[in-house]
Amino acid sequence: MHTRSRSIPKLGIGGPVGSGKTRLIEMLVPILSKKGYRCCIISNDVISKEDAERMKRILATESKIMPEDMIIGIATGGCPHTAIREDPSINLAVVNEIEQKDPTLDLIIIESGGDNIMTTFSPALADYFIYIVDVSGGDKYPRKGGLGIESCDLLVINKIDLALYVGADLSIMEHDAKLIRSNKPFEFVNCKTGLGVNRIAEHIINDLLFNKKPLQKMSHK
Amino acid sequence: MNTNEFHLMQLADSFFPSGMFGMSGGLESFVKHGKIKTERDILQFIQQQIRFQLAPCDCIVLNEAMNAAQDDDIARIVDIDNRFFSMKLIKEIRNASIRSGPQMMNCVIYMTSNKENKFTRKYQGKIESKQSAGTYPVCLGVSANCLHISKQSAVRMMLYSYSVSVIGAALRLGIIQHLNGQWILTQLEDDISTLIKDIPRKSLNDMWQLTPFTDILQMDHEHDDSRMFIT
Repeated sequence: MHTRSRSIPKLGIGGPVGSGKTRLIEMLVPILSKKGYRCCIISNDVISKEDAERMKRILATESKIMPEDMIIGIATGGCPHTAIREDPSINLAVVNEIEQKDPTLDLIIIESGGDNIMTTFSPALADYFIYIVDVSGGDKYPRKGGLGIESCDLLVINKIDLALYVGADLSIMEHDAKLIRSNKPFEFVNCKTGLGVNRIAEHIINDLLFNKKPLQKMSHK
Repeated sequence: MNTNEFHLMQLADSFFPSGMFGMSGGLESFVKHGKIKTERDILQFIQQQIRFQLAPCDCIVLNEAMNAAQDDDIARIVDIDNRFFSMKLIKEIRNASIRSGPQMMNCVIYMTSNKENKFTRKYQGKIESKQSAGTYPVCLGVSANCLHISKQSAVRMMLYSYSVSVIGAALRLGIIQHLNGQWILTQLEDDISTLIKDIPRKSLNDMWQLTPFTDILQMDHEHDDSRMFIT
């Protein structure tokens, strides 16, 4: 008799093109891995397999943190928001396959294709939603809002090292983030150096994994 | 409008969650290789795919799946499903079919009562236990039967949905405009209406498919580094 596989916690990461979604995952996974959490990554890409291929190289081939077949690329037919919100069928099917293949995983990370500020994840697909923006467009975000910025569980503001060069005032961004998110959490990070990424990992462990211990110690390494 | 017609519209609507928006049915590869450039090329491509792939193969499977579902014959459903799966030469076509089919069926199960979807859930169990592949035309047949949609309407709907997904892909690839898409659909109406008349007379032993050029380009597409669509 067939038994349904265990539901693995799912983290959705969305944000505009070039905001640092892939880099955030590349920095997060080693931190989670060191703590014993085993992850799988689904990477939705708008036009190429580049993000999935890069993560395979960095997280599997070079650092051997996870097996290559645990990084899965999905083409979105040019509709990144549709693939994670209006019709998440293909992502859900891949999640089902992963849950059947390895029910001992601690976390499935679903990266959205680069999209606009209205990006949100279907609650059927992601249990926890991180929206990432960067400072390079100036400090008008997060003030201008948008569903992604306002509704996500955690707002991440990346590339803070560039603020000086683009005239973005981080104190304004902090003030506006507090206001527009009604005190829901946000974090400033620099995914290039890893500054602040530990705090993102803590949010995930506390708020998505509820401080549960890893199901099993990393067996791949 | 009766309930069956309403459900038919639901399933045929591109708003219905089946993942079809992510597929171009091979069109992206044809465009990349410069083989398709105009609305007439797209019309011809869809016509050929319907005549040499969907009508002689997918539509027969759909019709036979509906017959088996009407007879409550789960063993026959499993046989049809696995035979169809074994005929799909392209890995990504096979994967797309077994990913979108069960997801579409999940939605139909969610929409209907336990009494209505008893057979659909039985088939779902066969897919989950890996006894049956869960291909799109079989899932559609079982779902359409659950919603009391007629066989002819279901076959017409599958051909319509396929055509819309290719035309949608063409729009997003930027080779046609919105008005061209509707012109193409209108031209297809006669072809589809004529072809579906023969389907009820066909059995699984009559199945065939012959689209070698599309197959080769789709195999090429699987390894393409830069692409928008799953297939």
